[in-house]
Amino acid sequence: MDDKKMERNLYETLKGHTDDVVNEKEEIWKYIESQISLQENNIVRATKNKGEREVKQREKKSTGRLVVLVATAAIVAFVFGIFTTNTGQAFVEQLKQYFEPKKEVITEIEGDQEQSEVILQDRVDYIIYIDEERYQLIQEQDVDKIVPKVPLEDKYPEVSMTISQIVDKTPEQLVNEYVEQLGTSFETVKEIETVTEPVSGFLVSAIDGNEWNSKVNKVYIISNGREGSFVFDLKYFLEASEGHGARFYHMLEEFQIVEE
Amino acid sequence: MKEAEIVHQFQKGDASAFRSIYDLYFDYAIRAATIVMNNNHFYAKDAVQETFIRVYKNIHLYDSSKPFKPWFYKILLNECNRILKRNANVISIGDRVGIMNQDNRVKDEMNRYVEYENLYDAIQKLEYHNRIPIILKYLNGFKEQEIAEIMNENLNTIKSRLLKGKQKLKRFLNSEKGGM
Repeated sequence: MDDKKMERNLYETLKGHTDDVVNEKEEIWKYIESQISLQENNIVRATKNKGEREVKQREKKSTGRLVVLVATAAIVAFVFGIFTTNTGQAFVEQLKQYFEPKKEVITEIEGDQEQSEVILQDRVDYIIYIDEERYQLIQEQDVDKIVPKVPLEDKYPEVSMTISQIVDKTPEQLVNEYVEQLGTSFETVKEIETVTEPVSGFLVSAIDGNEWNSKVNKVYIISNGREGSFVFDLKYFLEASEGHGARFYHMLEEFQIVEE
Repeated sequence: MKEAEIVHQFQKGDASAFRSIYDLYFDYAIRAATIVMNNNHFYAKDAVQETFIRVYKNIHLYDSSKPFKPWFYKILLNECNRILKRNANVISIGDRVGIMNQDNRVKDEMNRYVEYENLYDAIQKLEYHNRIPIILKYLNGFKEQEIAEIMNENLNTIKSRLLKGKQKLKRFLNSEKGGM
């Protein structure tokens, strides 16, 4: 088959093989409607797995994922009753793992799947999971910092993820400060992006060249649910993007704000 | 009403516009998710449901100066990735739900069916990083630059993955012919 013919056939093939899956449109819509409606009407409250801590979500828009998970607890029975699909099961499984002291995760690193055990890091104002075989969470001045457990040789640029809470500045106020700050030390600073993954907020990305060891800095800024922000400052280098960079990204997917 | 206007209405708080977005995007979203999820229809539904819920909850984060479609598909792809990772040990390539209902009585039709079937099998055999750009380009009609933005990669990486993806497809198809 020549290139052009293959390209023509690709659309027909992809569409033809999925014609049967579009007929559940209304069923899926009803499910979405019910979820949105229930989530909006629920007072969000959860307890840690052993009942040690109450976790409250102050605002619906703060982190999003917690809202989904916790509201799901209230609707699981409803979901099971009406939609006996894998969806309900998937949610339950996710909920069961919530705040587990440790859990197994599979992360895609450079195209391969990497299985690792991650350990709950229980801080005053948030939780995060890290792979303690590869990383450690240290405290440096007023901020938490995740760094490789085995320090890198001097030839490598810094690899770290700093987590800090700034209680008196909103993400909107902070984001331009970071753009300016990175602009003074990086060759390229990308436009501010609004992201929903791995966290919901702003992303400022900067890179210093195109060499294997060019420094990369990604700063995610999210609301802390009040008048302030959480800032995640990811530092690594170009060659480590799909290694350390991907692992930091997956750690952030597990980040949750909590309150005593 | 044009797509941009619908999205704008939704951003302004018109909840009924959300249904219009659903009508516009559901069809190709479920198709793409199904292929990304190796034909596991349950996971595809899960991903699409979660995507629309996320769109509803996070519409305030969408930058209306940019096209909506890449933003939507970025969320969809993230949801697919999350479900794939969560269920990495249970995904079955053989879990097919969409078998083409072709009329096989006519020989030409049969040949075409076999050709599509082989091509589809070849697409499923592609590695994830080659398969996704192929789906986004040929099923969803994205430009390479848009795919780069959706996948958080640079343009050259996407071009290379598309090229290698197509080369691999050809190799799969040729080996299929050789084996017949």
